[in-house]
Amino acid sequence: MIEARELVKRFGELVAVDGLSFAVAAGEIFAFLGPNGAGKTTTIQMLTTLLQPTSGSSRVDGLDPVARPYDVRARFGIVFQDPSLDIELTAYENLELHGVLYHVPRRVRVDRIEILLKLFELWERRDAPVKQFSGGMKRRLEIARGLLHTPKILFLDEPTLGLDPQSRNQLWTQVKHLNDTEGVTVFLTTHYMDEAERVADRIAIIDHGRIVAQGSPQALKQQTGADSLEHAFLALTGATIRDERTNGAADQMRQMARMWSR
Amino acid sequence: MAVVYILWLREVKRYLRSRPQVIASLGQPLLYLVVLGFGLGPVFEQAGRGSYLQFVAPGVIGMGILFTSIFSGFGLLWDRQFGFLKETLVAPVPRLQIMVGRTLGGATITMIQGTIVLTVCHVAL
Repeated sequence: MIEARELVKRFGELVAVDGLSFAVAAGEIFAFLGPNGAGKTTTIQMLTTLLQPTSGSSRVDGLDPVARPYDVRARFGIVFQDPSLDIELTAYENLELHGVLYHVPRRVRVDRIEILLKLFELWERRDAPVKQFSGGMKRRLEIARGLLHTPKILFLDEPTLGLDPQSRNQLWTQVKHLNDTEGVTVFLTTHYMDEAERVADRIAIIDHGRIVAQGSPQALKQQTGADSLEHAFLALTGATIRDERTNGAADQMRQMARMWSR
Repeated sequence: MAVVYILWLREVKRYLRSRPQVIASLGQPLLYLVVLGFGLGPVFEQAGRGSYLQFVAPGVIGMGILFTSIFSGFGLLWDRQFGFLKETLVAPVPRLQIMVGRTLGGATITMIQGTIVLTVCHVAL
């Protein structure tokens, strides 16, 4: 369903992603783990057509994101690391807007919005502006939105960041449920090892833009002889703290220019 | 077409819901009309030619339109700051349609604002 071959992304001197290769099967829940600045978000941005790789290639549902960005975009849903809802609009309006952007026919849209809002327990609050929502509610709404156009793939970039244990638990239960019932392939990143262990079929641990280990949670633990995934993770990536280097303003402008010129 | 419409609708809804923006954006034209109008009006009239209000009203309306347009352009930066821009950028929709939808939305808001100031001027005259 997702395939990356020798993906490389450089930002000037910095090599954010350094020759990544991996494959995700259809219907799988695949977790991408790594310290801050390891290249997780950059990889997702390349797979989701937001960034062009410096070299290497990828396939999303058999299509090349560089060559056919519109076809690829219609096939995935995404929850970004940072919120991306319009907080002035209501929950329903946010979903409606998304449905129109993704060309979901009106009748399907109305049903699908109702199903998803009920599943994520937001139906009663559908006409409240999103700015009145709690962090967990916003997150749930974003996931509901990502699934509105029945994508084959769902990208979740640290979806549980800043949520309380209750919300996290509920969120993963719902994601798992959708994976079971709709067969949606999930590509997620997180810093919470227990979550990865709980939901992921397969895990790849990435550091300095390279995959250092991949396999099932059990396999990773066996490989490192650690008793928990957290220890396995630390054994593989070391215990030093990383500085996340953000791009300079000029870099950001260049990225924006590239996005708009497409 | 539906894409352009929904983005237009979003701009208009956001405008109609933010009362402070509506009121604040009327403040400046009114300041020019009322304060300068009544302050400078008599001077202008003594200098000899017609009504000062009639003289400044078109300029004030034009300026109001200009400022409102600029503000709706800033909306793009806000969207970037609050992340909503990314939602539109990963959608399977040409960038041109996104831009046209937003621009038409901004133009509509500007026209509403311009009409309000025009009405105020008309009443004042």
